[in-house]
Amino acid sequence: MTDQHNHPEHAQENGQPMNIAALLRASADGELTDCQCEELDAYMAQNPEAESQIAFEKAMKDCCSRAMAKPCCPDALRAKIVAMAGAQVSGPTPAVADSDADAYAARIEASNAQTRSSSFWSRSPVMGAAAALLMVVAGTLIWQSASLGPSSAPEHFTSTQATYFDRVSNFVVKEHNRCCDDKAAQNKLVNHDINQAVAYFSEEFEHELVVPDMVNAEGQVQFFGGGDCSVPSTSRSGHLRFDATNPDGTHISLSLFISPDPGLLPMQEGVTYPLNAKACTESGARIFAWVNNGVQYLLVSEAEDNMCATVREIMHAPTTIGSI
Amino acid sequence: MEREKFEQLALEHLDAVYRMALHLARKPEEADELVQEVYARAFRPQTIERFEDKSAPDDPLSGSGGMRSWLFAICHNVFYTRIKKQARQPMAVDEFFNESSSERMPDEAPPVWDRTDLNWEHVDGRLKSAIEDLKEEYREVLMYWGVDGLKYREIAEIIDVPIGTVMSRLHRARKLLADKLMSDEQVVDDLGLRLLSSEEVE
Repeated sequence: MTDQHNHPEHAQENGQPMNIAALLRASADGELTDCQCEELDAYMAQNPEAESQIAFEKAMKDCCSRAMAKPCCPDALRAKIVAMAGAQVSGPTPAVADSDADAYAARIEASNAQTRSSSFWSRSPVMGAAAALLMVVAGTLIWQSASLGPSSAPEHFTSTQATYFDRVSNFVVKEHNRCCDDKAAQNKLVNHDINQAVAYFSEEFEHELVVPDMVNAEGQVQFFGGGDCSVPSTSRSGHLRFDATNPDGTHISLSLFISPDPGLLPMQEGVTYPLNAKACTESGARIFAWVNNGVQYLLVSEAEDNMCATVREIMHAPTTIGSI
Repeated sequence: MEREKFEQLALEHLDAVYRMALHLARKPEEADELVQEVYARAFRPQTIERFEDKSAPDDPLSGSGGMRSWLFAICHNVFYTRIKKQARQPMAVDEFFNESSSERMPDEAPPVWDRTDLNWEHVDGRLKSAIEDLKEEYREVLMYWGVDGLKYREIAEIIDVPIGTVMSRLHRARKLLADKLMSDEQVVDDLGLRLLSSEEVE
């Protein structure tokens, strides 16, 4: 039985009795139905002490009300809010420079500009339903694509680990391929200063990211940009793209996906793990994974070993290579 | 609704919104920011156009769907969005279990109170301190229930949880406060409190 069944209304709807404690408190709160009042009366006839319990609850409510009723809004804040409203209202109107209040209101408005307008889908129930249906279909297709075919995860993995292994491998390889295109990358990887990008993600993840060592990589690898991403099973994640040139002169891109470690891959700190996923075989890319200070790093590259090693070195990836 | 009327109505509840913000955020400067964000959101032109006052015509404080409940809901959402953003760290195991148990249905009866004529004023200070020690989610429902006099259903709509969850949080909050008071022998003596045994409750 869920707790909701014990609410006065639900209990009555379901024909289930409330427990006595809930009945007493609901009585003190004035939340009983007629039927429950009768039930309570019957109980109180046999348990006169219940009256004092209800009295206690009522007294407690009054006491809470007194204890929490203050303070009122400070005058300075009231003035700011009134200025934001731009309305003349009665009551205290302390003087605060209009320009300050206007500036604050403008700042708030500007910061919320992106979320101000309602989404296209939320404007009509039909569109909302269509969006929900679309998401269900898309989810089903994604689930099927992830579930069909044999997993390329190591045999000793649990089903959860294997599923994550395949999902995250597919995701990072596809996202890497998509963002090898400069136009797609420019839309997503909007931060072109690596130090700023690292600072941003450190704050987002609440874990210090390792500061990349770009000085020693000058001429070999350049940072293209970084941006928010959606690595599976993470609430926040980032995608950093690096550009490099192979010895034969061909231009290549390397992607580094970072996120707070969800702990779904059995990795130890201090070891770099090549992930031999099916997605890699199909695309010719390679994935290296490691964990450092609670952050999971996934490097995707089609470059030669030495180039991958250079980027790993820039990101201070562990030099020890292990098997996952 | 016309903008001027909307603003006037919203400003009438400024004290209540500030009080709620202060009890949620605990720090005056954070409460200030919270209130400013609530009103900045409320005063957006699109919001004003869409808002429809559903409170009873003769009592703007009654029922759900009124301005006050609506502002409380914004305050709740803004505060917990911030909390979620700030607290993306793993929860301690004991905290996790405490959290889980907090949603259970109340099954312990209130203490028996033998004296109805006692002045509670002198325990207000202790209670205030005990309220300060409560978690935000408990303080919040306590505030809606105790100070603003909202019904379970109205609280549930504001904080977007089932009614049963409101009841259990309210129960936990009241029980924690009662326990705190009961732990003080002087208060127990003064109030003439005693707990019922489980047999008595059944």
